[in-house]
Amino acid sequence: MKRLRWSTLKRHIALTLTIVAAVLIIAALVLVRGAKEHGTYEIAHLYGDPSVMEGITVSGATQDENHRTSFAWLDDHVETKTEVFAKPQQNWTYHYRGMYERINDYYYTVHLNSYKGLKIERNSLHHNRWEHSEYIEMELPIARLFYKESYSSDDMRRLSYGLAEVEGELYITLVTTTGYEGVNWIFKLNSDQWSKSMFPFESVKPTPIMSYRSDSNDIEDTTQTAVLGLEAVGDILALILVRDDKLVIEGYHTDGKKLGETAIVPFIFEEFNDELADGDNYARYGVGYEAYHDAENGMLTLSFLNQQSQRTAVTVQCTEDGIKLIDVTELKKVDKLLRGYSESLYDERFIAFKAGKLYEAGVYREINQSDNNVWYRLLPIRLLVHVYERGELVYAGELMTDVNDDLVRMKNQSTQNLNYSDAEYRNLFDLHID
Amino acid sequence: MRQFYRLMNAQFSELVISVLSLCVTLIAASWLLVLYKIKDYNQYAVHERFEDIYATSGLPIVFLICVLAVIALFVKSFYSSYWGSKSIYTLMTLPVKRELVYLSKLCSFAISMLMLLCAQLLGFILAYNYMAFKIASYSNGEFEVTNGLFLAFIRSDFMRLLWPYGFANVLSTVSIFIVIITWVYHLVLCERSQRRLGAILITAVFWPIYLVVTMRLDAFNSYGAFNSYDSSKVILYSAILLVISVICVWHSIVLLRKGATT
Repeated sequence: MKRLRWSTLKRHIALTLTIVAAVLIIAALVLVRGAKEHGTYEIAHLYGDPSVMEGITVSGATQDENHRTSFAWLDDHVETKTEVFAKPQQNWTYHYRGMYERINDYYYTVHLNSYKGLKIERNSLHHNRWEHSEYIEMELPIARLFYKESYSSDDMRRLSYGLAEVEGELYITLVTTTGYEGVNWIFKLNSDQWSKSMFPFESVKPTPIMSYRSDSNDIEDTTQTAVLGLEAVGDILALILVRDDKLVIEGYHTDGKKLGETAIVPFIFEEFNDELADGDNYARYGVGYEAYHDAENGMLTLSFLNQQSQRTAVTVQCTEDGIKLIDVTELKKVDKLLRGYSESLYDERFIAFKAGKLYEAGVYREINQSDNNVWYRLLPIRLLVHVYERGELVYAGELMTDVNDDLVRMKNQSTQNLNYSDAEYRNLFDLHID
Repeated sequence: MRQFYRLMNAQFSELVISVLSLCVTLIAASWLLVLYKIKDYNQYAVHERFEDIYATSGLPIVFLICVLAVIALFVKSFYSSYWGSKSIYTLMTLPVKRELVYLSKLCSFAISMLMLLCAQLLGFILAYNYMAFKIASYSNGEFEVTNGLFLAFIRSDFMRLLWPYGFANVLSTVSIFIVIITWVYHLVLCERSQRRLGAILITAVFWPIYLVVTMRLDAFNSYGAFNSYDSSKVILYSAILLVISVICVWHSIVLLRKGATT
């Protein structure tokens, strides 16, 4: 009987086992690959009324070298979409704010060339690494702007803050300290002749659209002026200045016509006007700011970090009618909800002013006293959303994810001889609030 | 068609017991090697990721040995026709086209490979679930990874080589298996008919395979390096492998038609 069964089976053994193998493979692949959207993305309300999130979308992505899950927090639910990369991606180093001025798909840096003017370098990314660098060298009538002190490396790094883009055209101003005197300008670059050579053969002559004094107009006037940067809100250019103890934001049309200005007093920068501060009552800010643009509503939110690692967000509205100060909010990191968390300068964040409220979505690191020796990057991360109204916190929420499961391999691990690759751990990127 | 079906079943039945044994061995090895690797895991241990455990336990090498064993079984089954009863003469005098004889043997070889791949996939899932079960028994959530099977699957270089993502990668994996099957068969036919083409094709087969595999395994090769990852290059090398496969099939059928292998 057994012999008969085997001989019968043998007649169809190839087809039978092919079907069995194929079905098992398909079922296994469906089981494994079908789980790509099964990661944890849940909303937790920590404080206040969640109704402030109605109509607001917080989007972003968790990403490691192998995959990326884009998420969108819409009202009370989260939508996700996961993409597995055909090939592993390198660590995404270049998203760090302050290192480069990111405009559209390019990452810009600006270098000062004492003899000729400025050299603008732009890079595009291919699989998270520089694909190629391109350069434009531009002449500046540098003789009209003198610096009284030597240019520090920090000042050099800030030069890219002077770049902005309006309708595909680049505009630039020279970022300065209060140690300058003479006339500064906003230039229209007027060229898209990018050179592959680090030393372009020809220099570009940019068109000045307006000029402004970097120092006092006359000997009686002792105003000290520093240039923090240039931003674009729609088709309006916003020049960010420090004048004495004031933060001044001036608005210009691209033809150089001044639209207006607004000032926040006092606003003390550690580097420029520290001596003007009235004792220790005021926070002292660093000059490296973050800018968040909302061209649709003409909103520009600038975020400054002070010595105590607390942020102040300044929101202005830039329209053809002028520049209007809308909101100044201290993002209160001393709040009890944030105790045990810390913000990293390099982690992802987004700030937006919507419907009379300031929304901040940011990555925070969980601080545990016992983890003192652990590298900062290995601390668990949290995506927290805070909403402020008239300077007061009205809501806090968290998008709960499972990205910290990647740190399981670090538990009980000796921190000596730690072999660590950032790209192997999921991180949060591209936060945005709409 | 019926003749082909019968021949294929007859050819495959010669291999099936051995191939099934290999599949069971591979699944058992997946479980046993992972079991051995995590035998000391407890709440005080460092918990490596599953894909790292799978790689360092030697399972990719075990799989490679199993592939070589399937190739050896096929070669043995081929040569057994020439030994003892010399059934090759019976086979060649059957009232069926020589192409069908060739294709039936080729298909039985391909089905053996498919079964081995299936065993590898099942072994991976079994071993992962064993590890997850063991960790869950003492972890209290501390060492567990949400959606860990999916993450291990996409983070394992070896699994991505066998079960790729992206058109170019799928094409390259499929073309590597096709070329191995057709070339090995062609090689033994060439040996029987004393033709040198089979040996000459060695470089033509292994160089693109080497390039594709290194390209996909080491995706961070510096930009512009000869084996830096580029999907168009992967497609090109896969196309070369498929062309070689076609040459192998065509030449094998020519040899069989001529009766050169007997």
